[in-house]
Amino acid sequence: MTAFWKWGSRALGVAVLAAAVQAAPLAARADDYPSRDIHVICAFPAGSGADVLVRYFADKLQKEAKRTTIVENRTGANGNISAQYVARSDPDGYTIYIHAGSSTAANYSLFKRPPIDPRKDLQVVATLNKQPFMVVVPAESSYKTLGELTEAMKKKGDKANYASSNTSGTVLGQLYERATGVKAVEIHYRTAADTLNDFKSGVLDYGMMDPVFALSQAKAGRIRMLAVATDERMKAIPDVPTMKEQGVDISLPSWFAAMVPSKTPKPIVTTLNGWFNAIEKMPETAQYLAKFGGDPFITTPEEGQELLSKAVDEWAKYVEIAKLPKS
Amino acid sequence: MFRVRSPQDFGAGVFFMLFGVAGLFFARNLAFGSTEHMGPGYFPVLLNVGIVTIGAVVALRALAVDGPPIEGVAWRGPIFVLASILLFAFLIERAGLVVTTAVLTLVAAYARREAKLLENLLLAAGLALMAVVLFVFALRQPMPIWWWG
Amino acid sequence: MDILANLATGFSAAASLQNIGFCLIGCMLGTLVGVLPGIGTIPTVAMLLPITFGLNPLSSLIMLAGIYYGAQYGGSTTSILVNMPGEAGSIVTCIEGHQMARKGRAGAALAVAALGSFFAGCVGTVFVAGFGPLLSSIAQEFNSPDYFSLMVLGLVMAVVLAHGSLLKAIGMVLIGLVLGLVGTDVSTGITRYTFGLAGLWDGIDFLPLVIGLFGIVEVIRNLEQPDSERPTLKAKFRELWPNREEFKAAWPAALRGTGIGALLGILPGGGAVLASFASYTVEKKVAKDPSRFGHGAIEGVAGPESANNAGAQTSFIPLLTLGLPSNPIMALMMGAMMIQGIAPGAAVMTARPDLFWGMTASMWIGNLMLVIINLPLIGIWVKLLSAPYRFLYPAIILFCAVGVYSNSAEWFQMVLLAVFSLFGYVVLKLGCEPAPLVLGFILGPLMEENLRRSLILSRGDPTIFIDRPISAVLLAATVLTIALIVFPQFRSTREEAFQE
Repeated sequence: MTAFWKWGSRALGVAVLAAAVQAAPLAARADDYPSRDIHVICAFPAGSGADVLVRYFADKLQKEAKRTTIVENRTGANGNISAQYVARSDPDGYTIYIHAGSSTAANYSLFKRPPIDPRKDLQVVATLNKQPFMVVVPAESSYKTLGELTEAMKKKGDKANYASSNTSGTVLGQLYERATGVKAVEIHYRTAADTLNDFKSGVLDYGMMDPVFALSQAKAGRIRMLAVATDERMKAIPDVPTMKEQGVDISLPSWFAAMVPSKTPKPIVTTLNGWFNAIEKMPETAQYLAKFGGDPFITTPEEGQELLSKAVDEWAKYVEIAKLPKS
Repeated sequence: MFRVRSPQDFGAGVFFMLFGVAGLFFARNLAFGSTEHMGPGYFPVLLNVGIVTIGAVVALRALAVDGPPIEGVAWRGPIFVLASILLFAFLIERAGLVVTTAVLTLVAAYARREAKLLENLLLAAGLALMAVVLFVFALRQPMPIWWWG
Repeated sequence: MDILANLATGFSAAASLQNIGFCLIGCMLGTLVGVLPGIGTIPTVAMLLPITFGLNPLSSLIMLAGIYYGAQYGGSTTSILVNMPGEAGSIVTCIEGHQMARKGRAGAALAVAALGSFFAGCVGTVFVAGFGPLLSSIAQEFNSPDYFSLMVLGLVMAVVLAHGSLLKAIGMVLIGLVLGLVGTDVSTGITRYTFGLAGLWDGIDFLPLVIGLFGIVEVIRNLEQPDSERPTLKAKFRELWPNREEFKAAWPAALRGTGIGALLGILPGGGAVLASFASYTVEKKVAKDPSRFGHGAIEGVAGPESANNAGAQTSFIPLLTLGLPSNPIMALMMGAMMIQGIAPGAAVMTARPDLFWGMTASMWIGNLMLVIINLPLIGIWVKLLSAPYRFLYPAIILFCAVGVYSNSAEWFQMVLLAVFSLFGYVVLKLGCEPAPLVLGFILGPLMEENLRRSLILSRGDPTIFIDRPISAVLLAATVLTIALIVFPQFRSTREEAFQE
């Protein structure tokens, strides 16, 4: 079938508009950058929580770059479609991918034939935020610390249930079980919001949830946050201790980054890094990110790239540990 | 011998059975799992067995109960309409909205045997203009107008 | 009396000149994106989101909400005129509405849809104001087994949608369920039926499926008739309105539809989608002469359209009271609220009463505006339809194509559009109807997920479905519905057999 389409499209290309389809690649020129609209590629569906985050940065970038930014939602294949689109686009700084760097790295191990190698095909221009995954329990539950939860779950054995709603949640759940000897059964949910009724009815003992959900529902008094899975406490939620502080040596931070094709000229990468770092330093950005339970995360392009490579290696290990199937 | 008394139902039954068998075939590598831990293959197998069963019943019933024939198929319509959609898919990122709209309109117009070239050229020009104004300028959909830029 | 005081607060907040202005802009934009198939509500709202950063919270929410229900109104217009549903809620409207249009009653169908929606909108507003908190506590009681049973009931209702063979309708529902499973399995992360195509990893998109099955197939079907035999619509203005009999048939249907929609709308996840299907089922069951259904029965427009709009209204309840978005648009509204520094949830009502009640009031204002915008448009739509079909259908195909493309910016989705158009054409020739398939497609993944989750939670014990009271009641309703469907069918087959 694929071969048919390839052949078919080639034949059509020759027959119809052979001249018109040859788009002249625009040479990447750093001296007059930016001279036209900047496209921000978003792998999340329009309207999802993460899409809103991407649009915030696109909106601010518009003011920094003094050029219109257009957000394009290219959803599909867990972000692979967007990542591939950006990696193959002209390396001229007009196509920027804003996505979770950790997830971009994870995809390299989650797919049998990953379409890109993020280490080689993408260049991080700036990291944008750091977000923690969290261990949460229902508000009515009696566990006040991670230690109490672990103790009780060990007693409950395989009668215990926990919720997860994405890959990071699954991995965190597996890491937690390995580190503590808990043997709870994982219950998958399509979205974090789907877990609420089951938390309320008491069938779920704990959950490995994303910060946006955890924070808003903890504020509403429906769940309690026991720990964040980062190395240090988050500035946005300073009263929630880390897992490490509570004796469970796990850290699974997620972070967003702006990325461009790897062949993008250095001056353009530097310019972009400057703009994004300026956005990061705005007090309103810190306030905005705090709503998602995250902190601003300022790095140089080199540091960001280093982080991305490290995440690729770490995720190769996690995928093994959590026995995630490869697509 | 059997006589098909309701060709339309018979066709539908056969179609269902083909779909269900294909569904089972392509689910053959998916783990079935158990009732407690349904594997990825559990639900698909259940559903496709259901489809094959329904298909068989519909087809058998078509041998017993009279029903309508299958309407004649005029291939011109579907072929030109589908071709216009596929051309749109192929051209939009390569040739831009104006050329693509014009090609789509012209090809679609020949789904009618009585299509007139001049009339359709005018229609293609009009629709191309409208598409650009409406989708790109008014609704700001991210798509190229021409093949450059 | 609290309600009245609260609504008064709301109206005084919402009725400022600025807010009415934003409500109007929202409604007009919504109508526009609703009428253009595929230029979905979600991308539009997402696109406008950054603009609302600068507005005050109430104004921005009022505008976004206006787009949302404006699109509901606009979506029914294309369903009726060209058999092209832009979203799940208007699929049912196609069934009777487009048949009416083919008979030259497009004006009446459009008017009934607009009036029914307005009525439902008014009632929905009162619902939100009066019972919001109460209803949300009911929705909170739904757990996985209850959802599964609700889906089963919904699918049984889908079978009633078909006016042909019952067996073929069941077959189509099952095929829809299988199509819904394509893509990555939520629970295990394994891909199913993707044939190595990256475009299928996230499943089949809703738009290419419905636009192919309904819109394009309709074009192809119309082209099969020679130009001379195609009915052209040359209605006089007088005939644009429903006549007395039509009114008489429509208003009880609108009333029932409103009730059904208001109740199902509060369920997060899939409830509102079921509303229009459920309403259609009910109308077909209570009708004196069910054989009119499928040939342009006006109740089949009035009921589902009202249900659709009432559901759209009450789906704000879980968002405003629990902070739970019940559909993607609500998720977007939640994003907008968060940008404005408001944590959606029960606290909104006490901390920002002007916001909560202002939005409630603006819903009513918005619905009134929509009726005022839409009724005069009916004449224009019908006039547009009377243009020669040879000019109309390339434009329809163009709108379908641009709609599907702009939704994902993926050429592969267009290939899917072509595939489903062909699929739809084949099943049309085989006398199978697409509406049950679409409901199966929407509910398939949800159904599997809830079934699986229920069984993990019960450690494999299926009695969980009858042990829980909500689930047990829903399953009992399912059995009753099956009985209602099967018995008349038995009778008619027996009669057929006798005649032989």
